[in-house]
Amino acid sequence: MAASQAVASSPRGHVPGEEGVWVFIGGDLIVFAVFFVTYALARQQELALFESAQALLDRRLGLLNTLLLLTSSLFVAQAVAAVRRGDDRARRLLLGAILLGSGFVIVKAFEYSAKIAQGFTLNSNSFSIYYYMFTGIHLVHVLIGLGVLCFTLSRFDRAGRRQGGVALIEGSGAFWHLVDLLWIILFALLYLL
Amino acid sequence: MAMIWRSRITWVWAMLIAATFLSFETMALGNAFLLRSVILVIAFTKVLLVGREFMELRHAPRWLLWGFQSWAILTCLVLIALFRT
Amino acid sequence: MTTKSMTMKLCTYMGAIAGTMMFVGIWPVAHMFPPLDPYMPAAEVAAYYRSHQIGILAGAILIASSSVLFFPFLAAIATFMKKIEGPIAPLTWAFVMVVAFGFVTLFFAGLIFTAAAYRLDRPDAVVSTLSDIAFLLFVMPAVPAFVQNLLTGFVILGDRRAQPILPRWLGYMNLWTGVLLLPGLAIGLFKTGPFAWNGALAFWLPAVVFGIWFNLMIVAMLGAIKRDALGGE
Repeated sequence: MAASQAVASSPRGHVPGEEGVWVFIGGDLIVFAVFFVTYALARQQELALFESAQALLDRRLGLLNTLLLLTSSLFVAQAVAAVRRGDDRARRLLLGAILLGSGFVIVKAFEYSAKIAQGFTLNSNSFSIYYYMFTGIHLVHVLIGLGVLCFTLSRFDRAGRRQGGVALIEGSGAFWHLVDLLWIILFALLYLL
Repeated sequence: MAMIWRSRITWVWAMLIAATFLSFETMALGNAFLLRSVILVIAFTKVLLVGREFMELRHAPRWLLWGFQSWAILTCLVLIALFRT
Repeated sequence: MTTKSMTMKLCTYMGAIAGTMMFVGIWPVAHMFPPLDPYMPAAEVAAYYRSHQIGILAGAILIASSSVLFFPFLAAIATFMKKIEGPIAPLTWAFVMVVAFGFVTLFFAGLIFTAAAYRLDRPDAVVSTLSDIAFLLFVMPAVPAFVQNLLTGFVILGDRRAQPILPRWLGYMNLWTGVLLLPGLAIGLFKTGPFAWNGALAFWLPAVVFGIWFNLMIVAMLGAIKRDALGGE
């Protein structure tokens, strides 16, 4: 157990994926920090409106989506470890992560359509603008992430092994965790606070 | 398959799930500044866990690890300040 | 230095010239940076055009001319992309077509600013309609820019050479820029707030990101020309 863990974790001083991926991730983190601060400032301007509009959101759907993404992230992290061990189950783990991620998209589509049916649309109030635009931009990230995971999956050979290094799955994994991490904050800001 | 799941990252995942439910319940307690801060601290603790463990930044070079961690801590502090009211 | 790398260098610098011309045209000359508030009543918009007539007309000349000067720069990018892709280069062709209509909107923006400011006796509603069209032409082409950046990013990251023609971080930088320009797509939906055409997230953020992208592109391309990445093979 201890020996297999030593192999499965990344070596010290190692940049996950390749350095370039972190240009994207770092840039995205900075931009989303700007998003979060813009939202917090707008909320201060219209406190009562934001609180009453937030109460209309279905928090259980937000919770469900958080659980889906966290579990999907776990599958990706396990897949990276499996690739390092040379374990042929990496492919199945990755497929599981993609299915869970698709679940997020389905829940989101259901949530949007339910909100629109209730008359809570893009321009209903200033909270709804933030709600739709932030979750929409995040959803674009989810879709890109799913595309990246599918691409990574397609790089495995028939026997379920990956030739070459682990950089590709590490890099796409890091992007998928970024998607997860941004949702954790959006969930807190839009649904909980 | 069983052996895969007995690993450090599975524990991390369990903590993340527990933290998610914890913040969900905290919200139900009401809407005081203290509770809002607790929710933000829980959220950014989860962010740090995802970064350090899932993204494997705890083994990454210092500039990368601390770049990420200072982003998380700074953003969290700014948001707590802005959610005062 | 060969003649060809001299030409590539000139094309790359042309981008810096075009970018500067556009910025000088829209900002200190035409006084249209940041854009007018979408909520401004037609009478005020018309009054703004009347009081800044000469500046707007002169700025529009700079904006329209810059649109043309961007093309040598874009051609230099396409040359790098073609080198990376080799003889079968569908993504490079797609790039060439997308930028051809993506950057032409800048030319039209200049023309319509001119039309709006050309006659001082036009009715207010006409001036403000023309002004709306000019701003939409200016900000909404974030969509072709998104595709253009995605294509550039994919090609750079698809480079299998041991020493890539363009650095890989530049590929990721392009993908990041593309994603962040996307909110510009939605400006038609809003007249106020962060996603309106003068908003923090649909205008300022993409403007800053575009500026960063533009400068890093020029630096990386000049670096690649210097080490003669296009020669050999």
